Amino acid sequence: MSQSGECKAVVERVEDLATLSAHHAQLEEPHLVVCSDCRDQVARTRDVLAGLDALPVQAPKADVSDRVMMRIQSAPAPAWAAKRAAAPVRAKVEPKSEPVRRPVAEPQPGFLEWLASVLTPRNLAVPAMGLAVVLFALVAIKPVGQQVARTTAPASPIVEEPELIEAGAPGITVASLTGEVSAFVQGEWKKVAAGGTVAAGQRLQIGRGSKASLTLPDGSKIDVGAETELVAFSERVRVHHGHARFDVMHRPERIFRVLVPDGEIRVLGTLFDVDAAAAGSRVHLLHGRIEVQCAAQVERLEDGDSATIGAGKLTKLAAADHAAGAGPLPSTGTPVASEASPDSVGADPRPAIQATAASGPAPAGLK
Amino acid sequence: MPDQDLVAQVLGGNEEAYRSLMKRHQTRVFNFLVRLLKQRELAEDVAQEAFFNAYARLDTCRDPAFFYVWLMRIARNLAFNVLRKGKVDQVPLTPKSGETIDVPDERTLGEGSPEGQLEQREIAKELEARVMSLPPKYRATVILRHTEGRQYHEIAEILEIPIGTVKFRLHRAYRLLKERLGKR
Repeated sequence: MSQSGECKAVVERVEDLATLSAHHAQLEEPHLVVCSDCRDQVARTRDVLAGLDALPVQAPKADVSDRVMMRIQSAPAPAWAAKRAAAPVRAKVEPKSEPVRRPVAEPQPGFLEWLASVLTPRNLAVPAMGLAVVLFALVAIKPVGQQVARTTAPASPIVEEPELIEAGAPGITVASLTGEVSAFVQGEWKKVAAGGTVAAGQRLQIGRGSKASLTLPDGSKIDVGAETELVAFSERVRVHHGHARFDVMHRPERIFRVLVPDGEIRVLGTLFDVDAAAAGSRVHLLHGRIEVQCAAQVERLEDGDSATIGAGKLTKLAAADHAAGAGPLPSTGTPVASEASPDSVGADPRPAIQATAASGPAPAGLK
Repeated sequence: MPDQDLVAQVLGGNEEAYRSLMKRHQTRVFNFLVRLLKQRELAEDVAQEAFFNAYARLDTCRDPAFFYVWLMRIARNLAFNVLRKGKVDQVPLTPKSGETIDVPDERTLGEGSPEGQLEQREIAKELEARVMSLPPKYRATVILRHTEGRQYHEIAEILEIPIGTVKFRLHRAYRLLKERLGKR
């Protein structure tokens, strides 16, 4: 069969004609009325196109995003993120490389003498590190050594322990952990095993790529993300920096408090996330009721609400504003783990590292 | 929230925004890869790699509004690297494997009688097998056009070929599929 010019023309536009019904294709191309071969070509193409459009969309069996996020969180920061956080990263490295030279390594009697020498009224009153110290003073907390650490040498040893350890109080259980979790005990960091107990008031550090679940004496649970430092007591927790999710047992006779560098969250029995850093903190309430204070500002949050604390200011974000995903923290852009599941706890702490410059030595082996 | 806003958030330090991006696009990326690579596990691995690479190079995404196109280009490059290295089992993903036919058909078969729709579904099953036996470059073009619903210029961007080549490859693919299906 030789192909006429008209047949060739149909072949060249067969896909376009196949998108039309048989009737409309013939109206569009009158040659189809008289040429059965061309009609057949168009019809077969129409079948192929319809069949291709009917191919099912294949979906992955497992959620790819979870595995990729784990990989992102355990891998070195990409070049663009490292550039953005370049100064804080250096601040992070320096204190962690210093512990062997720091007074922390000194024998205990020397450490206590040093402690006594820095806990002077003048040091406690100095707002040299500005906001964090001033705001600490405005909330009802005990004066603590780490304020002194912030106002003196950047890598001053942690002075909160042992004086503030609640002697005789039930311990904090490390119900489970992945990676490396350390407790600051008698002047040095010691690894904690899953199932172990640390004294209330002992500083805990969760290593890079690690996470831990803590159980408080009253059954409240804290899921702690990578590169987080906190101190847990029986009815309050201080998050120095990093990420933690709190599932607090409701007890009307007490108010559970979470202290962040420049504010406080008062818990009335609920589930919420906290991302803390010296430059600013954020809390997201998944369900329940909490009250957040910064300086003289107080906001009460309902389900789905968030609040940011930073630069002396407390800003509440209603649930609708937060629904699409939280924006950056007030000044650092530190990310927020909002509706993340506990398994994905571990927001990027790299921008928060500015707060760790004064936070003390690193655990042994975590350099 | 549009892709460009999520990309901006990620670059601003919000890692979780990248999770949102992934959830939005992971099915499309996987659908494209599994038909190119013909193996589910391999497609999932390459999809992970594509997302991870995209995160690592996110600052090079010139137009975040077209994040999907940029991402698919990364996925396509990874897949073709795998194909070039001959790591793919050449057995096609046939309907008997249950991995394609069991997936619910999200697309309508258009208007027509139930009998007509049944015939179309049968043709679709046959086509699935035939598409998987197409040469990869034609297969990629067909998948992007029909299961992903991409326009010619988007396919051209993803495959980094001229629009004319996109049309040519589709034309060739249709001809091959018609020949393999035989006359009606």
